[in-house]
Amino acid sequence: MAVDNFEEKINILEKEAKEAINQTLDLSQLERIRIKYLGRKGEFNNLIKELPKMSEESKAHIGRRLNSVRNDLETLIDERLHKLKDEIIEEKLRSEGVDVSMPGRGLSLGHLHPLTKVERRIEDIFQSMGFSIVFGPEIESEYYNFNALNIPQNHPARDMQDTFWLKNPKSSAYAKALADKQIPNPKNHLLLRTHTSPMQVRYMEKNNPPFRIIVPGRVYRYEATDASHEIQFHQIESLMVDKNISLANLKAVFEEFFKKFFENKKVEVRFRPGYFPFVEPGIEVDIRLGSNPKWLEVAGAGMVHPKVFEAAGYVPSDWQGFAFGMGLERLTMLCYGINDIRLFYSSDFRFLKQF
Amino acid sequence: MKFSYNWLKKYIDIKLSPEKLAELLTLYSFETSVSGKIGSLLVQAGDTILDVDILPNRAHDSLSHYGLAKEIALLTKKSLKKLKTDFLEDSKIKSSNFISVNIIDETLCPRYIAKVLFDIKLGPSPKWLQDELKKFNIKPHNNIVDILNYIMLETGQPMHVFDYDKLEGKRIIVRKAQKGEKINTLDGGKYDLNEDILVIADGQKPVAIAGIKGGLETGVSEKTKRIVIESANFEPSGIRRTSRILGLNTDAAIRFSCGIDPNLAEFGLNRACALIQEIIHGAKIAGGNINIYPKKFLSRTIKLNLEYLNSLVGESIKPEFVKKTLESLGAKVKVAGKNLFLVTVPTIRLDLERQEDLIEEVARLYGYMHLKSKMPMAAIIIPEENDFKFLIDKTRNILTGVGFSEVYNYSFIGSKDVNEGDEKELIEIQNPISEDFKYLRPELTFNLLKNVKNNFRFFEGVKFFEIGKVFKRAKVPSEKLYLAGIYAVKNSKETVTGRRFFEMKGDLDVLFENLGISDCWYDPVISGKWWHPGRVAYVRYNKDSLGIIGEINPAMLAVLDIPGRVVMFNLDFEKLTKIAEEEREFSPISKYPAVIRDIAILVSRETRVSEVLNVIYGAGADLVEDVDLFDYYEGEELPEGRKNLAFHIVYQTDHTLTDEEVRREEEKIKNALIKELNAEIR
Repeated sequence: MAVDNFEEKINILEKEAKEAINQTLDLSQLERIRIKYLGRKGEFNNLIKELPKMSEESKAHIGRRLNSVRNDLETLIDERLHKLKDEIIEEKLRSEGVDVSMPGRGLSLGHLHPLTKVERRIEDIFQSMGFSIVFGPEIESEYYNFNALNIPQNHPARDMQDTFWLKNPKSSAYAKALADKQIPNPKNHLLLRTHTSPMQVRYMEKNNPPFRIIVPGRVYRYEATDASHEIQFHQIESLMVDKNISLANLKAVFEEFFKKFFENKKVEVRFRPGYFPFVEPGIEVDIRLGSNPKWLEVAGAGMVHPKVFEAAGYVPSDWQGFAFGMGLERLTMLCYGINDIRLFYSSDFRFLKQF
Repeated sequence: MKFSYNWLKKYIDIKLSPEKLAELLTLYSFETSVSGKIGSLLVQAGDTILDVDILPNRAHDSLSHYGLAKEIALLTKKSLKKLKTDFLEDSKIKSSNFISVNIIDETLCPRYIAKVLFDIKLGPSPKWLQDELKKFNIKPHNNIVDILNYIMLETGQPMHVFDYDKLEGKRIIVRKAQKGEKINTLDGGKYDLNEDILVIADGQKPVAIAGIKGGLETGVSEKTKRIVIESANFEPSGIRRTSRILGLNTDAAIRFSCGIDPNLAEFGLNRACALIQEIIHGAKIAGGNINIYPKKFLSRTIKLNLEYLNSLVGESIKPEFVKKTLESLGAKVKVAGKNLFLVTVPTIRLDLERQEDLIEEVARLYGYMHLKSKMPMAAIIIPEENDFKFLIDKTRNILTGVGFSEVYNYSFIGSKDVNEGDEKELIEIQNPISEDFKYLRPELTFNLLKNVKNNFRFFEGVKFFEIGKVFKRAKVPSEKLYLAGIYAVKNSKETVTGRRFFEMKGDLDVLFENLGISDCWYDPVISGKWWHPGRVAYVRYNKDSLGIIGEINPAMLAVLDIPGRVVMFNLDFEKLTKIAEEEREFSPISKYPAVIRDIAILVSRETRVSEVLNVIYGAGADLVEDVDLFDYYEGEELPEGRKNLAFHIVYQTDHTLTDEEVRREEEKIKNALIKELNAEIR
């Protein structure tokens, strides 16, 4: 066989194959083309089989030529393959298109109670100022709730906090003492705490100064409910005791707290005289927000009364401390502009889902 | 207490408007607001009523117009006009010739003054006086009673008048009542008395409840000619107790129960006599008083350390200011050392008992607004982490993360919420606000169920949780922190049997996993009416029960008128916390690869997955690391009464497992399943 003729065959085959490859539109056709030209029994191998018949000098030349064409075709098929694959994917993805303006779908998170949210904020601020969080019982004895806080029996200050008493046949010791006209032990007489202040004495009985704590918790008052009164609400109590704690320190702590609590809003803090038997001097704390001319009462406070130190077993002359109690509901209402305290206990999802 | 602005002006020259005065009082003394009207009666034109919140510590000296005027004089640095207290006595008659007074219990009645007046012409009081009383909702009666009421509002001293001719034996005895004694009071009340109640008696019977209310029979009437005026002092806590026992709170009781200066009794009486002489012409005032005052109440002297004062206030207040301020309160100040004052306080200021009380007076009059704030100079303390608080917060975050919203319900439940007989377990409130708040809640679940019903009016589903105290009446009343959740769907489709139960259980598993609790298991409960009998389980850790999870019995929901499906869990949060703290420990990640093999079995429909798991874990105790149910099927293709279960079993140990080891373990498991559960391996 003449070399020219054989070379011509190669050229024709190359041209034919390249055209076929470039025209394929799908993967299976491409595979068929690959088999037809480059398969084991394909056209190319047929040509290679004829190679031994060639003269020695043309063998090398033709062989190189065959290899180069084969490589070209393989590369071409490969490229075509990728191109077709990309097109297919593109087409598939195009068909999967969505209307991105349709609403999203997702599991909805639940909502924390607004009182929880604000309590956490208050706790975070006080913790950042070195205050530890402690808790106390909601069922409290008359002793810790009143007597130990310098509010003895029949003291008119008891009228300031109307109390829920427990009807409790088990504290019959108390009832019996009453019947026998003895003075019953107020530690046996149980009530629902009317404030978080009982923890002052409970904590001091077990810990030595210096310390600073806050006590968040639920308290109870026997009173008619309306938009600003509830039979249960929450207080954040605070107590800081050391050698030289002063009223000026209390003012600084309040100012710092409210500055952080109301973030960027302008807030002014005002102290004015107040009366709580367990502090002396006693203070009412008012704040004023932004340009609102109205002062709002937010806390009762003062310097720990020596009788309270005594009740806790401290030597009063050794220590000075401040204490205060803030209403959590009050602050939460201010925070979110809530106008009715009863909403907090309504468990109404229309209310809760807003937080 | 309500105060008339014009009345105050009788004693002091006030330049401030009522609003400015209210602000001044609020900042330095008492919270004060300007109030439009008073009681049911309109205030006369030109006057303003101030509502001044006099707290118990200042009720001794400021629960009267003259007392408040004194405070205003102090704040405005104006002088106070003296009250007219002089009058003429009839030298021919002497009080002591007409009446005798005997105090049996001196601790309950530190002072008793009686004065006799003759030729009293009873009639209406002058219009100006009636008008003043009306402002305070006090009904005018007659000249003598109106004058005494007026003096109480003016000076703070309550007084009482008897018709002299109606007093038996012409004696006054201050004593405890005897059991069985009764009294009809001036206001039409009838009271049974007892040995706890202090009374004023004549020779025969009680004629007044001491310090609270006078008796009807000995009161003045048109026929009255001769009277006895009582101006006394009573021990506060006794008055308060009696007033509470009898449910009788009067203006006099309020004043006596806060405590007033015994020395005020004489001042008040003299002021009354002066006014009687001015208003009731021809009245004769007997000479002298009967004045029983065994233990004279003297001024206290208190040591005041100025260094302590400034340390407590946190300011450098000058000694001169301290001295001047205390003197303006009527105290006498003696300099007793470089930083020491001896302060003698006026008797009217019963509240000034110790140096902290004086420090308060100095600080408030210095002005709290002038106090410069100073951060405490104290060591930096890193606050102690409260583990309990940490876990509460974490729980809240996890549960809101799986779609629960947090509620705060009342700590109370009503009598309607309790089955008969169950109240024995509950803590009852002695003075409930209403029947709906009669007991402390023994569980969180009652109120959560009510929440579902209320919210179903607006929502198709409800998913709530609450963390709160529950209360049990054990030996002593006790409280515990609980966690409960409720998940309710109005039109719930059972696409999978027990769908909502398993959804809720999955949520609990997420909670336990994230709290780091890995070994909780669910123990079926045979339960009564409340729970769905086939869908309720105790949540256990080891053998200990942490609580319960289950679907509410649809029959119960029907009674409660709640549609759909409701599942709940109720857990002892304190126990949960303990376990979470115990288990909070890291276990190292194994260096050796795990081998996963699947196994499918047919078992009886009654066989529980937990039983199968127990068998698998029991048989393959050495190598089985974890077992997961991944398929569950019951259907027609299966033999009657059988179900198909398929598990992934994860094998892992302290070396790389060989195929042979896993095969042997698998064989053991299969044999155990066949033997113990009559399972068919597929």
